[in-house]
Amino acid sequence: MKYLSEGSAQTREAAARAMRQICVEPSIRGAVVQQGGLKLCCTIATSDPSTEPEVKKAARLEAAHAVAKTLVTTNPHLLTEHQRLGAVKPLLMLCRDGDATNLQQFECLLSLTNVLSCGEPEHNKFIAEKGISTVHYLVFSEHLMVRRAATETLCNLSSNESFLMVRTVVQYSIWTIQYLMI
Amino acid sequence: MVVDDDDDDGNDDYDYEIDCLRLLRCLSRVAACIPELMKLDLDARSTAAYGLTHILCALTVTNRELRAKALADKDITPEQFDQLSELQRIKTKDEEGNVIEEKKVELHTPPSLDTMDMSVKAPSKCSVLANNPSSVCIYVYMHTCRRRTIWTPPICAVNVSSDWCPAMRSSS
Repeated sequence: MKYLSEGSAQTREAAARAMRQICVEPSIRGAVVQQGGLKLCCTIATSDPSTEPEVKKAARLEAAHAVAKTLVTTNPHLLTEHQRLGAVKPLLMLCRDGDATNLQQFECLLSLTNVLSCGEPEHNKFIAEKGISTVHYLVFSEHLMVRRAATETLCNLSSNESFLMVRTVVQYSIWTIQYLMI
Repeated sequence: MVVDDDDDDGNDDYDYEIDCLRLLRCLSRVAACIPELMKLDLDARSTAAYGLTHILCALTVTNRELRAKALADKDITPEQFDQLSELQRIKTKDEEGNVIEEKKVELHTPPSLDTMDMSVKAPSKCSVLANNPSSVCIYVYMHTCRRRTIWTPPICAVNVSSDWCPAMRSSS
């Protein structure tokens, strides 16, 4: 954690990669959240490159991927609201990144699905971060599982009034049936 | 069992147990040194800190990830590589020199990390889905579709018979 927060650019990148590789093991993810790894990864992933040039893009992507892996298997109701809201931005950042792999996007969408199941503040944060257009783009991804995960994410938004004003329910219902029939 | 570390007794028999024990000793040494590494109080911006994070990075990487990186150069995923390996057969020759194709013996391999991630997600998703009727409907619908896909062919096979189809009866 110390090297991830205070280290040089290369040290931060290596520490972020180590953190992401640690999060591959599901049983350790709870300990990562307890010891502040989630918050730190969110901070690294959302750092502005203009104000913090020491944080490279690779480090930001690795940190965001660590967040995604952690939140896939963590019950979002056990997290604080601050943690849930803070995780939305790095997850969307990784979703809209051109260099992200299908696995990264898939895990981000699963995490977003879990986070968006919590309530209205998460929905509003997601919409404020322009998440609808980002996930809408992934609904038409080449990868089947990414398409399904993106559709599932949008389904969790179906109770939000702002979302209903943007897209009609019928349109998303057609997409949902279309992708689940494949 | 006594393990001879030097192994210079001239015995050429390969003993897997000795090798496994040696490997375990090395692993335990690595595991034992991690707490010592964590106790080091280094300047986060020093080269030693970078070396330490590099060591931790190397210790936490999995074989599957290394394999995926190696296969990425060939534009192939590990899953596709596994399928190709499955199709590949060992070619051996019989007594007359003819080539015999034998299927590879299936080795016990651990499940892929992607599968593990998804299988682990399922219980937590259930708790999440409980609060989302729309998602529950979708998953129920998905399961129904799968069942139909599985069970439809046998029903068709029963219906298409000479007793049922007049055209088939006349041709026979």
